[in-house]
Amino acid sequence: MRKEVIGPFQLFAMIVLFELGTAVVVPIGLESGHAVWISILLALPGGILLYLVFADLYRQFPDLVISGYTRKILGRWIGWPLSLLYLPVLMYNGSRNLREAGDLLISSTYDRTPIFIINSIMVIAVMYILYKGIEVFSRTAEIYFWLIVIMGLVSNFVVIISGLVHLKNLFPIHPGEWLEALGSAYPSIWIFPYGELVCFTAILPHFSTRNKVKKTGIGAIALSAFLLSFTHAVEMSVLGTDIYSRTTFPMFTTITLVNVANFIQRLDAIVILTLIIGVFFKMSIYCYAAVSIAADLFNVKEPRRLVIPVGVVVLFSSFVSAENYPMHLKDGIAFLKYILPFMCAVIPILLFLVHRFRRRFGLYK
Amino acid sequence: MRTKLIGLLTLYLGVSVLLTGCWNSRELNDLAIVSGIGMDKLDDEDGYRVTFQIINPTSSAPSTGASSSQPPVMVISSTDRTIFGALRKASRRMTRQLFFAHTQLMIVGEPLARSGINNLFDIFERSHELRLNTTVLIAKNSDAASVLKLLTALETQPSTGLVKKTQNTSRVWGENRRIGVFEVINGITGEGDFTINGIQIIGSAEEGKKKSSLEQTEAPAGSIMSGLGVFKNGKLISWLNGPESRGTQWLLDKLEETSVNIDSLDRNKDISVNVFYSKTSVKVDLQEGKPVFHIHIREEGSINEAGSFVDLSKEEELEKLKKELAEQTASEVKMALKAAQEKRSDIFNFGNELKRTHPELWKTVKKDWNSVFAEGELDLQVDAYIRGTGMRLKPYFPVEKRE
Amino acid sequence: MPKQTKESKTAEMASDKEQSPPILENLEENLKQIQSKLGNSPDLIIRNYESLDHVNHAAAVYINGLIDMERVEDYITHALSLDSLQEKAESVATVLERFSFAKGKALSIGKEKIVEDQNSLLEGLLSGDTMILFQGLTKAISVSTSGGEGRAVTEATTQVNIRGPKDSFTESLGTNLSLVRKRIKNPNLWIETLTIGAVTKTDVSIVHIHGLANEAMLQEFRKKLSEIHVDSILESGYIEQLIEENKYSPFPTIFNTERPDSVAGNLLEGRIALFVDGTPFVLIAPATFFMFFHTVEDYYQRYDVSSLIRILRFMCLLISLFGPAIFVAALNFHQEMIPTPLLINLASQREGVPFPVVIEVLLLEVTFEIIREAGIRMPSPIGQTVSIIGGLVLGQAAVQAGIVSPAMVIVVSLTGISSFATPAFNMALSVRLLRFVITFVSAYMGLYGIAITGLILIAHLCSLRSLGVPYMSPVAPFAAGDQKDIFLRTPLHFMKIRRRLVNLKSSVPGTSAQLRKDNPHEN
Repeated sequence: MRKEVIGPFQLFAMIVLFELGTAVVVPIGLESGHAVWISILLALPGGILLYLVFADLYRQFPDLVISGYTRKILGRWIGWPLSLLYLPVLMYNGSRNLREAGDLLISSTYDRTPIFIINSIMVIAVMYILYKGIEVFSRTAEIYFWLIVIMGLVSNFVVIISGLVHLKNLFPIHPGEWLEALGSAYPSIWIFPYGELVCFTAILPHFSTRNKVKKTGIGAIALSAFLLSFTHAVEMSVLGTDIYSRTTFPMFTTITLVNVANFIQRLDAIVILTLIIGVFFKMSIYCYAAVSIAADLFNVKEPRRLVIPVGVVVLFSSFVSAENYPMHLKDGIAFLKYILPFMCAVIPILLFLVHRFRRRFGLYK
Repeated sequence: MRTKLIGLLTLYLGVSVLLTGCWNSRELNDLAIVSGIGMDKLDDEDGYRVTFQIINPTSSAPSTGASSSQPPVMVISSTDRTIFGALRKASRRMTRQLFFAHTQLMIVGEPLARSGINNLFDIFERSHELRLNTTVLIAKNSDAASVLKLLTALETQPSTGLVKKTQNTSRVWGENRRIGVFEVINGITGEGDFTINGIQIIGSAEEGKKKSSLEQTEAPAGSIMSGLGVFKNGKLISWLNGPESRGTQWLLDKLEETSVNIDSLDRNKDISVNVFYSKTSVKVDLQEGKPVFHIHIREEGSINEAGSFVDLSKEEELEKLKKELAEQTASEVKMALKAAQEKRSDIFNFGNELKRTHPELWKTVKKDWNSVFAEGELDLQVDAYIRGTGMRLKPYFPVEKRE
Repeated sequence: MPKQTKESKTAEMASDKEQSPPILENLEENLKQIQSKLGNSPDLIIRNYESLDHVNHAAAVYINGLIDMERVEDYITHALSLDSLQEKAESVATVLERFSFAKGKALSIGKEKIVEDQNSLLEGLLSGDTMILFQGLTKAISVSTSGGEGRAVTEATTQVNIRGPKDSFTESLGTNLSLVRKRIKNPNLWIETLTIGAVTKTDVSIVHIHGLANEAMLQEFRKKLSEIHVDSILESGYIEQLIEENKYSPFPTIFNTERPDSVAGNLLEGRIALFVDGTPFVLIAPATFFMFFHTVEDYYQRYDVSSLIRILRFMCLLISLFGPAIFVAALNFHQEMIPTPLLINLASQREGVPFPVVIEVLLLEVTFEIIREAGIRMPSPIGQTVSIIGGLVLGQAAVQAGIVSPAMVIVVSLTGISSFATPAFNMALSVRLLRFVITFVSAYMGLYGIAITGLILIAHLCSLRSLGVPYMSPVAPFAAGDQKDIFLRTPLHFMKIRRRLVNLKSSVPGTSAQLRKDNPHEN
């Protein structure tokens, strides 16, 4: 079979969609109060550095996914079990995104629909697209990138022209708040959403132009950081710290306040669409990463055969893992604090350092 | 084999979807669209009497509206300790499910307002149907239900009519402003107190319910926007009227457009200035433990009517009028502040402003802000400009005639 | 014109060829065999010519109706008739001499060749050639005299335009090829003809511009055509369905047109055209999704107008795909999205309508489809009546009877009309089919269902390929340079670079750099 390749713009679109994913809809970095938009920007350099680690590892092992080079760098006996850890983490994180989408849909419109139905419809779509392969997926991402950009422009535009933005809610930022902003930037925002880019270690082997990997990635991360920061700043300036911190989906609440000339109002559909698209791509990338790592670890020649099992596991863990949304959030905080940093940052940096070390001292055979 | 499997899977999925049906699908004919909600206090027990104004589509639509003999809305009430409970209880009297996504208006009766409204609004935040930009009004001197029962001329939907009334008067007269649930919640959670528009019934409330009341040129009943209710700790304590109310809008920088009557050379208030632009900037700081409110108002207006002779081609006349306008504005602002300080109720967001700009100073006065606020001093500066004089410079009546 | 008639490569054909009997020396026997093989059809005409010495018999065989009678009379009858041979009697003493005389001198006709076995003789006969057989020779002269009754070149009926050439293809392959060749006067316009269909033996011609079309694509196209094993090709639609890569997709991946200017334009963009004898519809591959929404007229009108019209077409696509679905979703699931006055209006219209919204939509949509289908099959004057009765009377009556709401009639007719704004009829059909699917999904899951179906639909579109070219190109994969001619039609002087994805390499039009050296080409 021909090797599937993805081009620079496709990678760019995928990173942007992945980063925006759920982060644009749910509140992030709650510790920093009204300076959350600054936290997002403060975490950007860290995010870029982390991506450079991934990109460097890719350039060293252009044909391998993360589990492949983990075994090369750390040896088969440490590398294999360590990479195996990625599978549950990736699938659980994918299922968390699914849960969030399902919960917003249920609390916004589909209050009488079982979450199982909502989530399984989404999973069917994800399985379909993954079955078609990464190339088809990346092309779809390209199209939806434009759609997201257009919807973002429209919704920001209507929020601004309906006079809801109060800059008072954003300024001034006092010295103490800068520290708080920094505190929520590292590690929490650094890991979510930037650290989650670890999934792209499974996608980069399909990248077509090796020397553009850094430029494309940094561009995409920077763009998504600015978009995220801007969106959260708008949400914060509309809602104020109090409501922003209490609402489960600030973007949704923001858009419901819009009323332009008594005609353009109730644009909830845009938010719901944004969320569906964001979650769809984020979850697909998680599932894809899980599929390719599993295929690599267990020597499955046709990775597509793993799509259905992974999808089913993600689907069930999405509503079995937590009893209700508050529990889900609580789990998420612990997960974000203890497990994700290890998988997203510690292991890749460790790999990077060990690889440098071994190459420097000629420890490879 | 493979195609058979896929076929079976599709069949299974298809059948399961078809059999389980569409959970959230609701036909329009099964919904009762609620356009307004009224909240009243029960006299003898805890809980609320919730009144729903429900749109009757057949007699509201443009094609059939006039011919139908039914009124455009129907009103039902039900009582419960929670709003949600009340709306579900209402099903005993309704053929259709109540539907709230188009609710534009919430009216709170004065008795309930006096006993506290802080915990009324949770359902607006939590529900996906009710909207945060629903307009809130306080029924002055009456209960909410009787306001909801009034029919309005010109507007088919009484609730739409009331909302439009609020918008219209805030746009051109300026004693009221648009206040929605969102702003009320911000007022409750923020520092200091807040205000809500009042609505008052004029005429006979009983007559106003009948459709026949609309068949006269002068309706026997109607409603009028009247003043601002001042809420302290979530309880209505007093009403601000006229200049006090307009001064409040000035202080809050919510004034869109208004008309101010100012003195001419010899007669009182016979020149009407249309203020079409006004911008207020507020700075609060503490000087020796006392707050100082630095208010700077910049307003622009045009002369729309002169009741006595003024020669607007002369610069000094205009200067005089400008000064008059600024003085008039200042006096209204002072009246508003004085009224609020008497009630020890910071309805101007001064506390929020201090907290935002000087969090460390705020901490020192946070505890007894109400009394500190009452002591506060006003540092007011009004810059008034007259930009236009209409189609004439001098009025048609000559100077001689004015004696 | 390098025309090579290839034998169809079906197994059946190959075995036929092996057993193909040679032409006999005995003229009488030969003629009898031909007659019996064609089942003694009355349209087989045999004309005998007897020479003076009563030895050198010759016969002309043709099938009436497939030949151009004038040519046969003017050239063949004349050349073989007694008089003309008598003059040269001494020089054509032997059969062989007579044969070569007839072939070389007497037959002053454009195209002739020698056939030596009965099968090719029959094939030639059936494609309108006249066969000249001689007593005592095992070969025959096949003279191309094909003609017969055919439709004249008329105005296009399915792809009408306001400005632009009015001619359209006919059922005759030769006429069709000439219409294109007249437009592209260039030696690099290459045509190769093959025969497909074991029974019908239909001539098909692959046309491309050498140097512009991608060689690999051409190879693949030839390969696909050679893999067709069917009895009959009655229309280009057969071939289209047989060579499509994605046979289960609702979307057409091969374009068809009956306009010569459209074919010429596509050839110049590096595409390959397939002409099939017997149909005015020419296939064009590779096709991309966006091609189906472009018309040649876009390039004839001014760029600003054309761009707006293109945007309008894409809007119509969205309306015809999602219109009823969004209406159902809004009315059944997302009533909060509708502005209050409109909602009250709609609610009052729906009072008394006995059906759920989705049934109402389906009822009207099916009615609409019935009217459309009935209108097409009717002779055109009656077709008008059908649509008037169907559209106006039925719609009005249904509303007054309270079976459907007026708003629904508006939505369904708008969608119906929008689907006609797609220039390519086959694409409009696919969209119409999918509209029903999306409406169903929307009735079950509302906007969420629409969004997910949209995702799957776009993923599906992205997975399609036409002759190796991604169907959604140049939007996905994104090629910034090609956006000039997708949603907008930028001024012609902007389009200096040839479209990238079709000929797979950019080049500047107006230069011959890309054309082969042995085919110097001047622009």
